[in-house]
Amino acid sequence: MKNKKLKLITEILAILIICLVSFVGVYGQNANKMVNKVKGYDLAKDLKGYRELVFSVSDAVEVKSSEGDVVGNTDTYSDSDIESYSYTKTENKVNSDENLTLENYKKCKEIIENRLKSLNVEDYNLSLNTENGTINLQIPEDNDTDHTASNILQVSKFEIRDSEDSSNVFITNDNIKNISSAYNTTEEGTTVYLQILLDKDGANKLKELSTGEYATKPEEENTDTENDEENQTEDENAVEAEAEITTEGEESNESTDTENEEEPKAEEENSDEENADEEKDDQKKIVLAIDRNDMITTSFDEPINDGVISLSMGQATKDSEEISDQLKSTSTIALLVKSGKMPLTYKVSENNYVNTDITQDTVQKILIVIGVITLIGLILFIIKYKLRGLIAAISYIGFIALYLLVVRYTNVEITLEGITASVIILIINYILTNNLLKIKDVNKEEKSKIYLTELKSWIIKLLPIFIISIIFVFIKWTRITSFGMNIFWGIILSIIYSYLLTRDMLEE
Amino acid sequence: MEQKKAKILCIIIAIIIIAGAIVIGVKGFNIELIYTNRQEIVITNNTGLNLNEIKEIAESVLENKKVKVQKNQKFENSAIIISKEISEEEKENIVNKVNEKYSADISKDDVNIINVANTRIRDILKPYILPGIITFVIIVLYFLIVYNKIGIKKVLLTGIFTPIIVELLYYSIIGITRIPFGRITNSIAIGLYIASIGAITVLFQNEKEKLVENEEKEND
Repeated sequence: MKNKKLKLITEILAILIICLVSFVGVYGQNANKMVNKVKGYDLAKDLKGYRELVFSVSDAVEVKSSEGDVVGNTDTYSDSDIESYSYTKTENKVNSDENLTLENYKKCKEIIENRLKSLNVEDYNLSLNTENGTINLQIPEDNDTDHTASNILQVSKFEIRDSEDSSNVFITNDNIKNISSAYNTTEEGTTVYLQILLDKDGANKLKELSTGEYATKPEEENTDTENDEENQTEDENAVEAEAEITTEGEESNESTDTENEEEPKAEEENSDEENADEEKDDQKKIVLAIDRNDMITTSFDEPINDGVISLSMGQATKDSEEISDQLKSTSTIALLVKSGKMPLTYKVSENNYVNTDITQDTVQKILIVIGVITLIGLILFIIKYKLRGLIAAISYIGFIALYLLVVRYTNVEITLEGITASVIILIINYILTNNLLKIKDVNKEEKSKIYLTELKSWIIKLLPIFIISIIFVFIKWTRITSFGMNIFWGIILSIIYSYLLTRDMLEE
Repeated sequence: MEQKKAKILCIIIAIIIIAGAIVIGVKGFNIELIYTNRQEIVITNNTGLNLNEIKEIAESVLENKKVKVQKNQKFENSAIIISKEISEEEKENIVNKVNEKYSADISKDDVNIINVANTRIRDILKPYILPGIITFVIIVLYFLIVYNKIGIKKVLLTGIFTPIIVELLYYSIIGITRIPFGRITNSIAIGLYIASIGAITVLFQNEKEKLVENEEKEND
């Protein structure tokens, strides 16, 4: 009897500690400040805040260099930039009036949505003004928000064209069957590649180009730079080059054959020499460009028969951070091109971080309501079942505390749906505790059996909800995932807790 | 007696659903401001802003309009005022009142009215539909396999129609009472879906246990 009492007191003390840790926290000193060492809640967009981006259809006009090449538009170059670079504004709008149609607005919205999904943005709100094409986007604020915001509007116009005549385009986005990032590790390090697989039509065109007038002329083989060496050593059927990626606003550089970034002067000299050589020789070359970034300018050493182009996105490196960065930027390029070419050029007209309108006060009010209802329920336990009711109430509070800790340490993102799921879990555990309380006035052995039967019956009854929660966990949408995770952990915890603690306490 | 009660309940539910459908058909949902066509202005004052005070100012200027004031940026010096419509005159009034309150010098030309398009209801609900359908089909199949003893027809009718009726009833009430349709209502809807599945399972399991008990008694 004494042992039983001692066990019960120990269990109650354990619950008390769990409650203190969960509801109050564990405080420790950190730089003259007392800081709670218990992990905080991971709040989602609706409860924390979000980035609000407004994308307007650009009314910019094209900007040309002194050589007559289009280098950008008035969104990317200010008047003073245009003057200092000796560029000129043209009359050509980046979005012609006939392109400003509802169909194109919708297509742009669709492409942006696809890109958000590819960039693993799992909680967004996207809306389109069908009259002027303005798109409003709300996305969660995290480490990737700026990356998403800066890439989502890329037009992603892919083309393989003549290096001299930009109007002579051979292969476009329509010819791409697949585009992805890949990497190859050798003794020198890891090289990241952008792999482009062309469709039948594109592959035929590429074969024609690589065997026709764009094939490298024999006398150039020894004088050409690194690209050709790479082609010979690494992959006979692939075009490979150091890809120099510039942002849309930067001046594009057609000659990407130089490698040494640490010596810009040498690079310029090389570049000048190459330009001089180019003027002299009559070797025809192609340019592979994405938007206005010329990724490579080259001729073909070998015929390309399989329609696969592999572009190395930098030098081989052993620095894992650099590899990771290269992979991230290559994957982004791949998914942008894969998602299709935007029919219109957009610009970011507003970029604001907005705090949630569901304030802490609102959340506190919701929690107080839940708390009061729970308290009433627990008082009912005590009134109905006296001492056993009190023990059950203590056990129930312990369950809430432990559940809140589990939610925090399993990185469950808290959304409004997640809070709803938590309420469901509290109800489930309340009914389960109530059912266990109903079992009384039987001998110990029988009681134990009945408890187990009751728990087994609950497992069966909770199985469909558990199945739903597992499916929800794998849905790539934060609100649904949060709901699923809360239910998933809640059911597991409820069953284990009731079996190990509530049942044990009530048996005593 | 119980059958009569059930009949009355069914009639009440049917009336609510029909009334809800009519209200939603005629007036639509009362959509939460964050999902509607709206206009926003961002007020920034380097010396700081108090959100409650800004809300008071916004509500006094934008009388009889839904107004929401949220903190903009991560600091306390910028607020975003959201309303269905903000005219140039109203914007100017708000700026003037803020300048007066905080002895600030915010120029009305620096404050732009941002037009934000509405989010379509189907876009709001889209993320819920696929998981809803997948789980619904799987659970109905689960019911058919596990509880076929209590009658396939009953399992199918109860399993399929209960969650649907619960959701229809819920959204009808939302439509009739003009409670804003948005984030909170949708999160409750998903909770109701789970609760209805749970209730059906308990009902089926109890019936199955009774059936097994009766069979055992008969065998004895």
